[in-house]
Amino acid sequence: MVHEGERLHRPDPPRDRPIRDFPSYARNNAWGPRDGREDPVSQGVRLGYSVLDEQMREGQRLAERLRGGLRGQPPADLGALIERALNIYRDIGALAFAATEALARNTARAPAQEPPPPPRAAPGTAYAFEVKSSRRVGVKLDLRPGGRPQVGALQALNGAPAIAGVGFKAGALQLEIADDQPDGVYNAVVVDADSGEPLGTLTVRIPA
Amino acid sequence: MADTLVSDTLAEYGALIRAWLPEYLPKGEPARWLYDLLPDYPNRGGKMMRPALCLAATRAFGGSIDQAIKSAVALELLHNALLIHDDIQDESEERRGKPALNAMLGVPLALNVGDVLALASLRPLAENLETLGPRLALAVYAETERMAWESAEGQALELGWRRDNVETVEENDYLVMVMKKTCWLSTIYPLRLGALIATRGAADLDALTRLGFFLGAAFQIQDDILNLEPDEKYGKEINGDLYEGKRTLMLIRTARACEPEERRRLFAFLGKPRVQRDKAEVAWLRELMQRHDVIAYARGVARGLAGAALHEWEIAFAGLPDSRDARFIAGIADWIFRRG
Repeated sequence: MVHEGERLHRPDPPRDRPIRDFPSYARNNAWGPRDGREDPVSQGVRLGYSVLDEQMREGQRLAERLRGGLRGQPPADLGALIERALNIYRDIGALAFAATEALARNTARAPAQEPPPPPRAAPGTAYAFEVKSSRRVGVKLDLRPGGRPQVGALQALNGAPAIAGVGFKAGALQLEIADDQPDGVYNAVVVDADSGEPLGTLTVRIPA
Repeated sequence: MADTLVSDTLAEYGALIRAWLPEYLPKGEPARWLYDLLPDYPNRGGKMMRPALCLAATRAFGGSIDQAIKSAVALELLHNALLIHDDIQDESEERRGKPALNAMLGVPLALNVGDVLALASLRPLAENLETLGPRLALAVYAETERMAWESAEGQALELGWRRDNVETVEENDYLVMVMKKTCWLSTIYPLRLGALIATRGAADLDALTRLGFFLGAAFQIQDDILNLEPDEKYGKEINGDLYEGKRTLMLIRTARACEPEERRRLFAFLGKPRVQRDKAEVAWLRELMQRHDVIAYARGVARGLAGAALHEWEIAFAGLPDSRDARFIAGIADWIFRRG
């Protein structure tokens, strides 16, 4: 019962900042059962995120086991790759082996219908790099010829603010990196300004 | 509009893959028992969703078709190989509206065709060495190896539950199985592969794992629903999942919701070999499912997962330029419920 003169006030919310992390929100709060019953849509999302969390952790362990520290290291020995492929063949069994030999023989003897040729590259265009940065940065432009390249802000993999000072102008790729730009890898897609078709990628690495 | 975008893109990329497939499906002897059979499943008019997702992700992340085409062809070949193996394991009778290969030829020959299709998928991956260079080709190989492990684990879970008539499978177990069995091959791997190839490893692949999981799980649940409530374009055996005793979300939900006596009868039915599961028992199970409204429940879960997929799409594609390919990938979340 509320007495006269007593002010009604809402209890303080358990959070002190806006909720922007939907997965955690879905997992921990609004998607839980209400009065023991939960609608199928909410249940699907809640269950999905809980399974996904666990699987992502397991997946990381599996990826580490399979890749053997591949990422960021020099290319693995191709001999080892071939040996692994051969092991797969061996595991499949003798019958499959015989079939593979036949496959190879037949392919060599009578090549199948030619697949469509890959798109022909247009004559290349050279771009100068004009980079303004107080630090040493690595810039990689992977650009297919043709079209009028246009690039948007470079996005970070680690959630750092994007690099907006980038663009193609007068035959040059111009790039400006602020002094306080966090280190990391930044990526952007280069598109044709006229058609919007992808032309390539731009990657910038700011070492720690 | 979004539907047209999805169907047009599937048609375009599908035609491209179909043009490339013969390169890796040679002719020769024994034609009757092997080579003539290799193109059978690929020619049955699949929708080519997997390679289309791979090509679209490549382009959305700034890459080109010619960078990814061989990996996409390898994916379609492996998918068809696994379909043959699935049909054998499930003792399926139909595939894409025609008799399953095992029903046409018997298990031994069908198994051999599946093996050779899997082997054929290695060739385009090996050719990536030339197209992509050793570092990226090796990274693609590692992704493929991981996907193959995950798929095999998922298949083992599903088959093991059925063989041992496991009664304790819950909905989260089902989603783990679906993530491994369906999502890795169908959605996670194609998306990761495309982004990996386009950015040479500089993209956040975990974001695509999340997107692929939700897309693939919604896809699988809708596929399971279509098996019970098919539309005119459905190409598999109606109620086939019930005859096979597949642990679908609907079956798990039914087992949880029904009375103890019904539950005993249900697991007695599931414990029988497929040939002993007769029409009358399947009709009883179908009626039990109807009574507990599990199809509507599964449809709701699938919609929730598709919604989460759209949310994850926004995260994974944030900062990329708007493109037809990015919109195609988002459009799959809705297309899942409209496909035949």
